[in-house]
Amino acid sequence: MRRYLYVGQVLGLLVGFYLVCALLVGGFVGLTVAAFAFGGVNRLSLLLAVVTLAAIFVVIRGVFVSTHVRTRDIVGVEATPAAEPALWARVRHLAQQVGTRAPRRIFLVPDVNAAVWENTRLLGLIPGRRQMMIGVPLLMALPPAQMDAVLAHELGHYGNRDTRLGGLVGRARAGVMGAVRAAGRRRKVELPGAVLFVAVFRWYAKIVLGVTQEASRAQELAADRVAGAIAGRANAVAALGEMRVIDAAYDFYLDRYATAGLRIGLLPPPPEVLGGFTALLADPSRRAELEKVRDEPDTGKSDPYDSHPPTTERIAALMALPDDGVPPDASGTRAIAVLSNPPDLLARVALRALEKESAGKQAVPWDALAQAAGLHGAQEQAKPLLEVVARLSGRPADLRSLVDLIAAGRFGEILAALPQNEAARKTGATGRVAREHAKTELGPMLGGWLLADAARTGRALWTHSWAKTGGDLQMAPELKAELNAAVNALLSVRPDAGPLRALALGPAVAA
Amino acid sequence: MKTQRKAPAFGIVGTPTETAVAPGGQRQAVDPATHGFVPRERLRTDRAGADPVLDTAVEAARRGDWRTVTATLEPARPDPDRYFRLVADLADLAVEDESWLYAWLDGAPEDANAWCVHAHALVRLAWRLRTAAPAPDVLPEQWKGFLRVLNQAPEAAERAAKLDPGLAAPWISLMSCAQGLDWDHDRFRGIWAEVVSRGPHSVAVHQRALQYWLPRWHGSDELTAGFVADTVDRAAPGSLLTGIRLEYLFMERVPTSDPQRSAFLRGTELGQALDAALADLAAAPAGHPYQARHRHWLAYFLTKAGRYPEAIEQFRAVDGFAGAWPWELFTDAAGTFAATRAEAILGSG
Repeated sequence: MRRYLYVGQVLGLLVGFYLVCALLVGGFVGLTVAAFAFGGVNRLSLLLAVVTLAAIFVVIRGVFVSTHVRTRDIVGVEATPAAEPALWARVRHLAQQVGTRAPRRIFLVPDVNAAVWENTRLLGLIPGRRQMMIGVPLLMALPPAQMDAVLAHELGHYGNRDTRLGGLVGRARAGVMGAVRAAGRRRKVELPGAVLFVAVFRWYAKIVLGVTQEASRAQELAADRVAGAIAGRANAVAALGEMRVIDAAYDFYLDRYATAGLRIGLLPPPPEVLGGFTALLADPSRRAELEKVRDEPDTGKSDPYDSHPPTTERIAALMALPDDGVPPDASGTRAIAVLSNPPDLLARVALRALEKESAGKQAVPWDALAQAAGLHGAQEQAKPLLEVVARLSGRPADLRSLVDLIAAGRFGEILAALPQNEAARKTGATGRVAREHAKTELGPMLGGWLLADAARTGRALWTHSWAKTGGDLQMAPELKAELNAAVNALLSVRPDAGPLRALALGPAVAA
Repeated sequence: MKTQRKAPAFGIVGTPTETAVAPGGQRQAVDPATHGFVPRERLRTDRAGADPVLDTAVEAARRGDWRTVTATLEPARPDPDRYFRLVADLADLAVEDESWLYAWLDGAPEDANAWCVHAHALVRLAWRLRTAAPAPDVLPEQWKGFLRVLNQAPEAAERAAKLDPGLAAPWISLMSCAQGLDWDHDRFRGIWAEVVSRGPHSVAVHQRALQYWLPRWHGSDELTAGFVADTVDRAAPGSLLTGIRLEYLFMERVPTSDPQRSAFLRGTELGQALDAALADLAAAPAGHPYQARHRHWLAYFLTKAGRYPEAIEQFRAVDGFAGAWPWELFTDAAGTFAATRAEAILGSG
């Protein structure tokens, strides 16, 4: 009985949403009509007309367009049953075990994410076509059983043996949130009064979310139980704990490896753009770092409207279930093995993800990328100093002009011409204090300069390393010591340009 | 107090720092001149008190005349405090402009005086780069410069110590290095043994060591308190080492907010420390190199303790100078000095 009441409440809220919208639009139309009828065409009636049009626009957009995820908006590659039979077999098997429909389409996306959604109509009242997206980083990071747990959980959102009305609740929530998002989206032209309608949508959404919150959370936990029953409790727990770790690792990978060369026009070979993540995860020192992330307490706070209870709570709920004896998947294989040709698929997902960024970029092996990025970094570091030297000497900046300037007693001028650091600015430093602050900046600039010179003459080389961002610098220890000594001597409180001079006049650097 | 003007409730008469809250609770302006004091604008913040010898040395240094500088330092060698004061103030000068010092080092590379000044100038320069901000507020580039410069100081100090093994000054600089370069307790105690044998009653020596033992640097509440108690216990009357305790109270013991703060300032712990410091001052020889500095501490704390007439006596003795602790520990040394003085004048009226 209570269940029926609840269903009635949710349905009522959804219907009520249309009522509110209809009332809003109707009220404004009525007001506008009245204004024209009694006042004729004047400023007020025109304004009302515009506001009414805005209301109609916002409402229509919110109600009819909102939950529809357009296929072209998905930054991913579709995996068809013909191309990926093993993946499909797995997903269908899981759906069957969950007791729900299998998706109609599956997309592989470059995010740490897995989701099932429906393009419902009328705020979730009418179910739509079911689709699934699977993040390739998860496929690369998770063993098959843990991936099963993730997908089973997602499928579990759409009704399972425990919660029959889950589908309705889930669609209602997604629908209302979608309406709020669609209405609130910033546009080039802000319609007058739009803010008001957005506020009304928000207010209503809050009520809907509030009413469905508990059911929704219960459904999440139920979906976890389904995942546990299918993949084994240990695997479901492991998968939940891994999400945060994979997320951190993948962000790091994209930033420091996959796209690190973009600024200088370089990318790794297409299968490696995302595929390198597998190698990073396998590196012993990175594994140790991730182990630390794993051990850190999960401090992530959950969004008040997020249906997911905090991960710690979900894990605790799973651990409260009786042990099913299924051991954690320690096979060493990763879920990506289910794909028929992982490198090819990874390459296609990467190209789709970097569609805009990759135009005109050159694909080079990781080692070449490390060398180019290393040299570029060193040159960038040296740049402000090079500019100052060129300006003061009136010659193209080379080490020779630098040592000549210093020999001419113009070291102080160089220091004064370098960009001031925050410390010097903040304290209004002058004299010796200002010069020492400038030397702090000069150090890395000169270091970069000497290193770039060594690299250009083949005496320094960066090789790719999964353990070290920026690569491994290969340089003779004596040369390294020599360069350091030259920088340190110049940075000393009584600057000594002797070692730098020796370097600059040395035959190897003359080039 | 005829000349005192009543200040309007929210207005300001004169400079803001020359007003003070009188015991009646009314904020009042004080004109120091009518009480025979040097006004705030003419306070010297580069000196704790008159010092003609230091003036001579500084003048000579400014002219680049390092021979006169070293000749001025020479007779001060037997007195570690006197010698260190000259070294420290010359070092401050070298932080502004090092050319005369480097000419000196080049002209007399075996002159221990020059190396003492050089070593301590590096310490001072390093701290200027770091600033006195609490560690979390120090910028990465400030740490870099601080450590780079301070790391060059030990070599200079060691060279000075080698050239004249009797001097305490290089070891004092090394204590600063220990503080800034995070040398461990054992290493510090090694330096301490060297320095305390050269200046067993030296204020400069104990001031430096106090800093190292502060909880904010490398010590703890217990270690600092122990060090201070030990220093006061061992102090010969007239050594002015009782001033170390005043510094300690200021840095570690005075509560920051009322009512605890007022209670502490009027309490027995401070009262006894002030009595001991006054007795110490009375026993000190005229011309003790830390006499003026000792009086600045007394002037501050006597005022805060409500012992205004005694405070006025100290303010008179150091009239015209605000270049000393505790004033220098505030953003506006002269302003804080003048405000505290105004408080004492009003209180004693």
